[in-house]
Amino acid sequence: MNTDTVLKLSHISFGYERDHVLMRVPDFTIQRGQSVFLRGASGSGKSTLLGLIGGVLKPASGQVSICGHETTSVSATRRDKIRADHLGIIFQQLNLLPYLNIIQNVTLPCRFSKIRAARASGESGSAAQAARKLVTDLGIGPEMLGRNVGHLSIGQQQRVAVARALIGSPDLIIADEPTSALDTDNRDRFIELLNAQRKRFDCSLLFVSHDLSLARHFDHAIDLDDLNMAASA
Amino acid sequence: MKMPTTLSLAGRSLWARKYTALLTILSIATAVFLFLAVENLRQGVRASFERTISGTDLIVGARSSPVNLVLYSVFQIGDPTNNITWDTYQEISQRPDVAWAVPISLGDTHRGYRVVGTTEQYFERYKYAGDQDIVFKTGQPFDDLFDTVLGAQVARDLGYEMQTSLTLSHGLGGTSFVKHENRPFEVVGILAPTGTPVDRSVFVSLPALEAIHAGWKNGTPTPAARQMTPELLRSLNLQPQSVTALYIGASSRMQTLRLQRDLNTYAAEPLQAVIPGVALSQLWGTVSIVERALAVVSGFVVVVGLIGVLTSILTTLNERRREMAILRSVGARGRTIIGLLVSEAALIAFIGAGLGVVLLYALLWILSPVLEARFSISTLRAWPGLTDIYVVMALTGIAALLGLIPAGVSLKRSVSDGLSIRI
Repeated sequence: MNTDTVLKLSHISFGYERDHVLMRVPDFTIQRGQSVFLRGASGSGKSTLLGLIGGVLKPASGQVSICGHETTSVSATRRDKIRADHLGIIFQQLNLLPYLNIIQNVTLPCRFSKIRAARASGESGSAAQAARKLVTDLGIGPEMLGRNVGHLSIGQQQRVAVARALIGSPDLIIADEPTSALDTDNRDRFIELLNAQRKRFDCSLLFVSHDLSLARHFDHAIDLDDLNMAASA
Repeated sequence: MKMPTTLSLAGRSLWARKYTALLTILSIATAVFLFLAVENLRQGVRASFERTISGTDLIVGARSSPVNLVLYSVFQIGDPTNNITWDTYQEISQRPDVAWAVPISLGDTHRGYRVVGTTEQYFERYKYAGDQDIVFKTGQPFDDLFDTVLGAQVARDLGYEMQTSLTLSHGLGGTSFVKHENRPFEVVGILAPTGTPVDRSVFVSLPALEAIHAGWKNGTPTPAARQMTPELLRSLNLQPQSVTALYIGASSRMQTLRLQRDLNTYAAEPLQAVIPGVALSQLWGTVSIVERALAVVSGFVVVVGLIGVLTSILTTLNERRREMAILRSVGARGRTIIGLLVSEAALIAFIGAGLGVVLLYALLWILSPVLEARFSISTLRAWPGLTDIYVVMALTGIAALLGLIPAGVSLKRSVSDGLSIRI
């Protein structure tokens, strides 16, 4: 497989019950450096697709490859490692651990991935230094770095989540409805910031949202209903 | 800045839920406190019990049961069934296989404390806690007819000092209506604490017991008895006709069993000779049912505490689904989720058990003078020992094992929840 392909889904089928297929994806690919907008309404199977990509859910058939690493036929531990090494994930909201401060939250992926820890250290000397640089670049003042994340606004928390997804330059960032809690101005600013940072770190981006108006910010846009053959059937 | 380990993540997560965690820790601390307190007390009581008398090869009394004989002659509990005649005492004490024989005579009390009539030899021969001698804190053994020596607890509780004058009451009950008021005794000696029934005894000479009962008939004083002055009593022949029991030291330990057999088959009168250690073991066997029951109850308290840890973690799992999903999303493996919850259970148990140990020994440090004074329990451990360390470690280990249950539930949920839980 071409290692410029960071994500490839081939002939995926999935269902929580054996004879009831919820998702069938014949082919879906994201190339290195690409940003892809995936539109999906509520209940369309976005979380299921993310679970399949992240290796938390296992397809009934087909293959999922991340940066050339096939994840469907390997052990759960190996899938966890591939996820830790190659994926950065941003959730909709409140996706930080409240009992850790900003830097501890941002460096968390480095705790589970030696590759990302090494990359972060290589860029800035240490994972903590890389985290400091990332969050200040994202507009969070140095005076706030030691603060507990519970004291941050939603917007600040989202920026911390972006920093956490970017640290150690993962190959693919998955953003799951990250702007749904933001107003229009902040939403556009957030996407611009995210795009700028992921370009800087040479990361691909899969941005999942129900809001089609955001599609203009990305290289490609695709509707989950078009992707999922089971839905169209 | 160091990246958090699983244990430190567990600690921080626990701190974020500190109030509920504190309650669980307190329940574990209470359970461990109770368990170790009962265990410590049990061992302390047993040690106090076993150290009551030593150096005495045989205790001889009227024929009854070995336990009854030890109870009334050593522990001052219960009543003797009969007495031993003075002639028998003389004959036994002169046997070649008897090194020494100390008679004791019971029958009177002073404000609830038993009066022991004996000889000066008692203070030389009675040993406790291995080979410890009775020591006079102040004063000396009785010299005059109406001299008395007090056990440490009697002097302390009643506030008596040297030269204090006191009178005895007739009978062994706590309350007596017949008092020897016209024959007061003077305190000439106070013993140092021993942690044995000696502390609760009032010692007088055997002739003194005869003297205060001179002129008595059928357990009550006659009018003539009331008229007898101390000077008149001193002039009388005050050799006792009988004694309650004898403490005997054999000439040779090897001969103890034969001496015991001889005394148990003594022809002149029915006697019972018991080896104190054997009788104490029999007695402990009887009372240890309570001890075992206490141990079982305290064990159940610990089980309840552990169930509390499990319940506490299981009930918080639902509100922690997001936490697990976040950890999974940043690459946490299944073993990290398991490690987190197992560490949390172990941490709660370790802190709780440690707190229980600290509380126990702090309380023992405060209460040990009271326990010694009130209950003669002076052998409690003052510092944590290996048992306490084992209990803390065992509890931490068991809690960690129990932590596998919520860990399994959480792992299963974290898979079904996927990476984007919204709750």
